Amino acid sequence: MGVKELVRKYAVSPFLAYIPLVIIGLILPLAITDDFFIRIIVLTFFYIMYSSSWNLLAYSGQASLGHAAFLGIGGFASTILIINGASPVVGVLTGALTASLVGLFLGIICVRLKEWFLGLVTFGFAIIMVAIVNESSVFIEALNGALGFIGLSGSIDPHIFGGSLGIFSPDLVPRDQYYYLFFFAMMATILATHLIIKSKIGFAFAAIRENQIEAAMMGVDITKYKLIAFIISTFIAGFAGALFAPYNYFINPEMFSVHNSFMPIIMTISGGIGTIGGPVIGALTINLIWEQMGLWGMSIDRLLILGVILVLEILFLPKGLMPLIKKVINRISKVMGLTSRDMPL
Amino acid sequence: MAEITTLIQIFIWGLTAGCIYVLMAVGLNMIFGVMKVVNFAHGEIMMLGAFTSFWVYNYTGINPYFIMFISMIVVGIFGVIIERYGFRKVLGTGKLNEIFLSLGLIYIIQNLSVKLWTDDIRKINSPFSSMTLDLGMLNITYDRLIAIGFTALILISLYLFLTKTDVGRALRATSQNHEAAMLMGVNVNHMYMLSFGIGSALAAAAGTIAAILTPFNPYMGTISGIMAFTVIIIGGLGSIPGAIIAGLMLGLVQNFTIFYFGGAWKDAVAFVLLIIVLIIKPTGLFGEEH
Repeated sequence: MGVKELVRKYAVSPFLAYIPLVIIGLILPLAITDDFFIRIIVLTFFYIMYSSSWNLLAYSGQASLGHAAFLGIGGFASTILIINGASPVVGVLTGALTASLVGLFLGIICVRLKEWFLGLVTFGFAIIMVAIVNESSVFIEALNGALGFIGLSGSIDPHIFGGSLGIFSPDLVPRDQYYYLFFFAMMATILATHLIIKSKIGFAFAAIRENQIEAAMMGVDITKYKLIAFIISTFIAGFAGALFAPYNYFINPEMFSVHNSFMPIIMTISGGIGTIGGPVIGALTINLIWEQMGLWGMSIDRLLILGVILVLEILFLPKGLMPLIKKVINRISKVMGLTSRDMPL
Repeated sequence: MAEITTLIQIFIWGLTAGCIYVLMAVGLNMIFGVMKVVNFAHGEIMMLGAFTSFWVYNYTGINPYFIMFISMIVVGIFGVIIERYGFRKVLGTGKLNEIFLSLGLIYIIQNLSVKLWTDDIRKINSPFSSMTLDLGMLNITYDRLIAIGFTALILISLYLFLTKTDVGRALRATSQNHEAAMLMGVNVNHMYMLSFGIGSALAAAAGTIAAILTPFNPYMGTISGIMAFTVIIIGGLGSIPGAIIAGLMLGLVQNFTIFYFGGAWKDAVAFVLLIIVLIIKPTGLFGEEH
């Protein structure tokens, strides 16, 4: 039996093509002892989730310029709950739900707005959040009360998910617990966005993005689907933030920063906006470039380079890396006798 | 209740802060009117205006209010270049690309400036900085009065240019209807460059005034640019009277907010105002239905 037949026979589901990647993902922490490398991979997983959430909102034609607001709300809400005694699972889910609820509220404001209005309102909302978190004594007390910090920043017990999440064996070192936590969360996010985009909801999003008036004429409930996009996207962003805060051992209002709003944008555009694989490829490349530049001791320069990358991409590669990768994969599948339809990207 | 003199003082501060917003917003509005493009990096252009004035002032020492015009020309040319080799390329490829391009420009211009000139706090010292208009209990620095005067002067010249000259009329025609203007023999591409040039020059004037009144560094622009954007949306996209009224209003609201609630709420209040306006009247206070 030749390779073609073998692949044809066993590639019953196009998802099988990803099994090798998943296996690599599962055994990676066992094979690698370098903590810093694992940290970068975990950050990549985090950015894949966060960018996917931004991408889903952009998929419905709504490009948020202040997505850090939801990341931060998720992070703060869950951290406050957990250090005040809630179980980590409850804390993380409540954090994500809180972000989602605020997202619904902002979505209601944004539903009538287009492109730049929406961009501005979301950007401004992140700025409002910084002021609220910095100035409200409620937040300071909630964080200080449990840990006795001065001001609104402080470390979080790294073992916060240790064992008590109930998923992992307590024997696992915290590093690997976090690795698997983020790995599975990322897988769930990718799967969820895949299912949503391929579902009726996803078609409604695309219709609204392409032409709102035509979509409305075809019977798509614009308001409903725009709000659904906001709810799901902000839930994922809040979820990512809720996991990220304890992993970082640290939380402060920097979480709402403009830079945090900017990262998912450049990552998604680098990969390919509006595709499921785009945020994955983008987060991987941009995060690796970003961390490598950090290792080279660049601080201002790497921000500058990020800007240059974004401008060059908009001018010369507006669809991102995905079309290139698709081309390569198509060639490979042609050789192996698969149709490109079998490869879900 | 605060003393009446304090309130007047805050009113003057709010008015000068408002003048900076007005200059920024009118420029942004012109670009939008003609090209239907929103440049999120407008604040960085303002910052370049401040730095151009600062360096010319540093090396020549001539009166900064005169340098303002040099800065307007230099930065105006820079704006034309950005239009020609940046925004023109993405025109018509979708609004999101324009937004992302200007985001990239923010990162480039801001960080390049930090790299070239460091993020030290600088200030342009005007020859009038120590002089105040003494009104008994009330002291108003001349710089603030001059800032208000120059803003009025620039706006009146712009008004005369737009209404009394052929080029100005061509600009307004383009902003009303591209195709019709093109058919009447207006070179629309030239109008794009011109509008970007004028818009950037106004931002440079705003930057120079801001640099004379308050210390600055390369990070001054981002929030100012976003505020200018807020102003044109509150005032109504495309409406220049709306931009003037909303700009002054925002300056006043921000300064009274600082006085009553503290500086941390300065930026937040602008967006709260924006959200309220958008809920009540999505087209802005003076905007028309598009």
